[in-house]
Amino acid sequence: MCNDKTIKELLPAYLDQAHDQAENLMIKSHLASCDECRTELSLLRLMAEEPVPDPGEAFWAAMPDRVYQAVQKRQTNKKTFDLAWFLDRMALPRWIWAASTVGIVLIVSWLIVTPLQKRTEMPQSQGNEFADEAVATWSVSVADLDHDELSTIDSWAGSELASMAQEAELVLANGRDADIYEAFEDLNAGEIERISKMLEQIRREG
Amino acid sequence: MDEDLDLINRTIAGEREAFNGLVIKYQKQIYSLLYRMVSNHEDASDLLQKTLVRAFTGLATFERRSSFKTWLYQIAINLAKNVYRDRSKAEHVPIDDVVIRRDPRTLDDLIRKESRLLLRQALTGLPEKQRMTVMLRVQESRKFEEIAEIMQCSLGTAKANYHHGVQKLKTIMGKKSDVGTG
Repeated sequence: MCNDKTIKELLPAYLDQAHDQAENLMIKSHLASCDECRTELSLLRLMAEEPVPDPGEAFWAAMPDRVYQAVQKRQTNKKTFDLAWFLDRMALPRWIWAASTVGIVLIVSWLIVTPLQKRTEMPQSQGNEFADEAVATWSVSVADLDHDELSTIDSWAGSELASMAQEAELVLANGRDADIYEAFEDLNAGEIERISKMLEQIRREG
Repeated sequence: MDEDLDLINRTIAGEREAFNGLVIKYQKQIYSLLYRMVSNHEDASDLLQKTLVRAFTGLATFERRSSFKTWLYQIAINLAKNVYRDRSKAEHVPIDDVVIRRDPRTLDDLIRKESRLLLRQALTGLPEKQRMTVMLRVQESRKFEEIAEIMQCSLGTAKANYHHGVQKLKTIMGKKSDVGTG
């Protein structure tokens, strides 16, 4: 068995007479003494001589036009496809976009409303038990309250008023702020309204 | 090579004459390769057009690391593989079923025709990479370096595929027919 891979690799080009004279002589010399390489050369020749029919000049002459037309068609289809793809992307999500818009509006509304609620609720939750209870039962008539409840209201209002009086005194004493109402800026509308009602209640009850 | 690059640049720029020049330059070589792979004009013609269309559609993406011809060969081989695979599945004839008539009156050309038939079937029986490599080396006279580029493998792998392929062909042909010694 011949293991001369160099010669074997040169055989296909030997068929084409593509080697220089020295290589040709070397291969010829090897073939003269190597049955296996001669057989291999015959096999390669058989393959190389495998005929490829010529489709004719008309076929070759028409090919550039055929390819050109096909390329143009493909590029047009591609453009159409790209446009269709874009339109699809634009058309498909219309209802999705509507839903998304509603969702976004809801989220933004929630973000806007939630902090406001928190601002109005925080003082109530921070207040004493009476404040929470008062919010929960604001519609209850004062006439329905018993003596203990009225006493609680009285003491709460007294402490609130005392606190405000202290703040007012401080403001007046320091003379930094001529407008006392600015000292009440920390109170929200609900607190002021409640204080006002408490004062009215106390005034009515003498 | 430089001529190809010039034609490519002009084709990309929209020059129809350059486009035609590239098609005319390579259509016969690619057709020959494809015909040897698929063995009929209709498929070879169809694949030739597809190869050229794919090449020209993607010409702007041709990276020019290999030659334009090598790139065309790569595209053609990749397109032909599927046809060849389907064909070899559908038409596979076990090599043992091929009977070489040994009528003493048989003419030499008949022997050669039968040898060719046997050779085609033997080629079909080779693993794909070995078959492609042998075809490119023997029938298309491509150098191993080019084959390595076309098949996207190392030079050593290309040579190994060639040696193994030819060895298998010799074994099959040696058993089944007298290929002759010259």
